[in-house]
Amino acid sequence: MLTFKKLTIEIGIGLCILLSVGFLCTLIGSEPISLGSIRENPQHAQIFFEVRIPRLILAMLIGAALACAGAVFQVLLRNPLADPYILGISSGAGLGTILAALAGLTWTGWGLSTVSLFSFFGAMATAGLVWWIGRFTGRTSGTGLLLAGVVVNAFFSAFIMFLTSIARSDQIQTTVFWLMGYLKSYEQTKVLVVCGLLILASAAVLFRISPQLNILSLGSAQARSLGVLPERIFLIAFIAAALMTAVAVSLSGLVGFVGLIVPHMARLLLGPDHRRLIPWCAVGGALFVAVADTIARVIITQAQLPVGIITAMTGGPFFLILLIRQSRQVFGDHL
Amino acid sequence: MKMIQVSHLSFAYAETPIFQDLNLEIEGGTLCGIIGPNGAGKSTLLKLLAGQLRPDGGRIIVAGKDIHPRISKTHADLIATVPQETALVFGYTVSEIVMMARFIQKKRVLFEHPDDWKAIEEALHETGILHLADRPINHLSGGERQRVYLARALAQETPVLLLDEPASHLDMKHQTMVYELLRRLERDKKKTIIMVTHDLNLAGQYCDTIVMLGKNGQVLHGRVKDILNERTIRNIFDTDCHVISSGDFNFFIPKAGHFSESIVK
Repeated sequence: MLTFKKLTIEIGIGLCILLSVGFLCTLIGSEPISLGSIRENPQHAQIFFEVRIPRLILAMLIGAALACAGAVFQVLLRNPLADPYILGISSGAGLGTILAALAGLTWTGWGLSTVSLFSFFGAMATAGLVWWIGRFTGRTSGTGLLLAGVVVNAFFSAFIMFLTSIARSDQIQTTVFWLMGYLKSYEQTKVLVVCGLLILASAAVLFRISPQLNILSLGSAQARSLGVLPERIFLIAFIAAALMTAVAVSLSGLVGFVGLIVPHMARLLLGPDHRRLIPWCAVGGALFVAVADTIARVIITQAQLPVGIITAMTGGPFFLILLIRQSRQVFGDHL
Repeated sequence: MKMIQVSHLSFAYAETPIFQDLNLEIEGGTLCGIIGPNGAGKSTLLKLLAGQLRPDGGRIIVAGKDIHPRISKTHADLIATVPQETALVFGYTVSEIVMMARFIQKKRVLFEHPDDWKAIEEALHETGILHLADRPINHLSGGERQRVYLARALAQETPVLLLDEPASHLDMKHQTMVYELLRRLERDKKKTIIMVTHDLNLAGQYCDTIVMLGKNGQVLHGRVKDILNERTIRNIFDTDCHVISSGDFNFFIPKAGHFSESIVK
């Protein structure tokens, strides 16, 4: 059974795989580079350190954040179909983005663009709004929150479409890219550090409460009778997951599917214990988006594809194969 | 010693009053059965005793502590519950489910202490499901699942155990096994056990006291012999019974044909 030693070794191996694959990804691109050429060719060194590495880190951060947040929303809503965007946090961010674009607030200071800031605060404000509405419908029940989220999501999406339809095409290009999920090539180091710390801190909090998340997945009544305070754990987990989602979408827009399939794959392979799921979702999500972004960079060299397209197109079929294999193991060939 | 003291308890679901001024005392180290017709509030009483529902008035004292539900406190160190039927979203294994009972012991924050393993193995052994430890709970039969939740309640190591129809899905052999186990826990571990049941005949054989709830707020509480008889069953359950005596016990079997007219209509 799970011990500290076993988990540390397991995650250590996962991190080694992640770092090796990540390193290979940085060598691939429209300008192929190698270990030798980085040392000899200053131009290659510049590409490696100033373009590829920051972009790799960005991809990994987004993947880790979305996968962890997805796993947590699936527990809180007790719904395996939940993902980080289900509560409308993402449409709040989208609305922030398009408002910033329409208002012409496109300047950048201290490495932060106003668009990113608007989408971050749009996301957090929406999370607060959904929580507040959810409280009226059913305090700790996921159903109340889910209903509130779906309504807010629909409303904000309609608002985004309205603004998109009245805006000039040059104004909304950012928004269109944002909706498809894309990674910027030149993210500032300090932005990456701050976002990375926010994501790691949230993941650490989620890992710390992972035994409580296991218990909470049985429902509030059972959680209470087993000694977990459902309201408190729900709030902590909600804040951490909402923060991770907000950071991820303000960095990259709507990178789809990661938050749905990575937690599912982890659960299929490792079981539902969140002490393993949270760290593995972080590693698995980082790996998935890093690889998907590499594919997005090289598949068409003239234009860069938004990474969200790749995650959705590769993730879906892969997940389906895994699901069918797992069902075969459980039910035999009777299916 | 009085383990559970309920005084002047009142509770209503929206406009439907369930209890008004309910008073009840249950001795420590006894096995108490709650019986009554559907809708009399058996499960509601159990939830109130578990601190899962907030009473509208009155107090419930368990082991000297007021168990009025509060946001910032649970009573999981005092009271373990065996739920009636549960829907699981994720496929935990039997030992993972039973392990959740050890959270309240807080030996370690994230990982299990060897004592936790010992307690779980003991609980699985007691309930006869040690061989199922690594099976996903979704793959078990209803009866096996019931015993998993019983094992979890044991592993919680509380003085009070609340059960909602613990044997309702089980065949005769497993029903008897559950009741024997409850009796053993009561005698060897001095647990106070309260269970909701529809089985008057098994309750009559195993319980020390019976709480009989009627639909109009009637409450009868006392020794089995004083509560379970033809007259109270007719009054509370609105059913005529054959009474069969065997050994020290009376058994109650509903008379056929009693209701035919009113139900057909």
